[in-house]
Amino acid sequence: MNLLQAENLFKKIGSFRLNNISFEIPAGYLCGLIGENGAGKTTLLHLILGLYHADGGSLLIDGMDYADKEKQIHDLIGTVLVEDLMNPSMTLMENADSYGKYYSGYHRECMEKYLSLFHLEKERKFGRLSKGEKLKCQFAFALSHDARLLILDEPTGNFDPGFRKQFFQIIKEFIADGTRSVILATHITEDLDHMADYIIYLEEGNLIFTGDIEQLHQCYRMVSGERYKINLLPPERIIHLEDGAYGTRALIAHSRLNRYDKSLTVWNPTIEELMYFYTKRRKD
Amino acid sequence: MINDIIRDYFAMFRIGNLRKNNLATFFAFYFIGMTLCGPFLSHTEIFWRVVTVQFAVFAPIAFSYFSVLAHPIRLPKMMYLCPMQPDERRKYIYGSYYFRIGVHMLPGVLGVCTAVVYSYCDIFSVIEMLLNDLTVALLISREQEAGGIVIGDIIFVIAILSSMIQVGIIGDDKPDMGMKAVLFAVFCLVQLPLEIRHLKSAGKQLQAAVSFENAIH
Repeated sequence: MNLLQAENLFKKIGSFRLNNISFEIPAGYLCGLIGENGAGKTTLLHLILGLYHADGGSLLIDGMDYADKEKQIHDLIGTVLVEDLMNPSMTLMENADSYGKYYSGYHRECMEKYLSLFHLEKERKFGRLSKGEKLKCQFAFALSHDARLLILDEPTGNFDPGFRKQFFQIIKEFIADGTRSVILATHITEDLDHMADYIIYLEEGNLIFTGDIEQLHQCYRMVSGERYKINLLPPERIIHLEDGAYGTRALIAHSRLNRYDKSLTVWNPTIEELMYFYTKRRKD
Repeated sequence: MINDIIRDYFAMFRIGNLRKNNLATFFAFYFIGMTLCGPFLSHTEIFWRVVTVQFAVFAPIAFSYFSVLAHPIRLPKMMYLCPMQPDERRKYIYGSYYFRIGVHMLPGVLGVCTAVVYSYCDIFSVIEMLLNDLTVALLISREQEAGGIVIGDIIFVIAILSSMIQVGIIGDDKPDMGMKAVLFAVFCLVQLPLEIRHLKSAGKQLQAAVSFENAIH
């Protein structure tokens, strides 16, 4: 069952265009949303959150459309955005109770539990927290109202290593029952290599790749070795090639029928390698 | 809902917003200067009476303007993410606007009452001062003013200038009917048309604020 389904989404903001974005995120998945700065990640998240209206295409969340089920859709989404969402002059619990009353599944005890787990004092004013603490508070609130879809826009860069581990453990538990999903936009791709089930890769408003991690590994390979050996591969398969001090590396579009010279080292690319080589190709 | 409106109003009211607007800062210093220097320029003999009247006339207008600067029409972003029907959001936005007008007019009414006690006010001056306060109380934040001309700032400046003349009129025991007529003409021919134009824009901004995307663009 798809928790989120986008078909040919199109959005124009100023000179920036998000072009024909189509993807499906099943329930029970952690989806990594990746791309350079300005690729369109935040625009896409704003469309999913209903803050922007698409100029074309369709977007269904749990089978519902924003046009007539806005309130129901917002009720099942928990959000952590990089900007401060809460009132700085109110305490953490005052903020939670004030916004929580709009959510049908809000539990005060749950919010208190997560604040305690994240070592945040509930009577402290939101404006007095550090950036990382504010994100933790927003994360606690997102978890406290029985959300089925978590939208997280680059929170991990502000977390300390200890809390990042705890964060991903919570995410794992969140999706464990198979009915809930998470969309995590991040630049820290090592986390996604280990955790993500699904990847959406955007570049300048265009969809470069969408699919699960297995498909990613089926579609691409990294090869390393002598340049002339790599150049023997069909040129249309070579996405980008880079010379280094100890040899040449290349990102290759792969299929099951492809064979590689035995002298070449071949491995599944990490998400970082995928992004790096695609970016280099575009800049060249 | 009213509790949320009150809470959000006071949460966003920060004097720091004054520094963001040169015009407001200028008039803040002007207003303070007038209040302190007034006794040396007026014809009355009682220092504190003059200060009180000037404060009663200027302070509500300054308060309203600073409040307008501090409170943009759009809701906090979190409110656009909370489960609400568009109608509920619309009621919240309009409710916030009407609440603000009430908050802005309260010092205006108190100021007029004070001016009545300490000066030579008549009914025309009372009406003129209240209308003057209302023109500023109805303003929306200048950020969202459509077009290149900032009508709100012009309305504020005219209200201040009108108040300066009004302070001179009500401080004199011999009413200057000519100046009163001029003030009334200025209100009808300048302030009222500007206010109507501003309110048309404000109406569109209020409607647009129901949607996050329309509120920020």
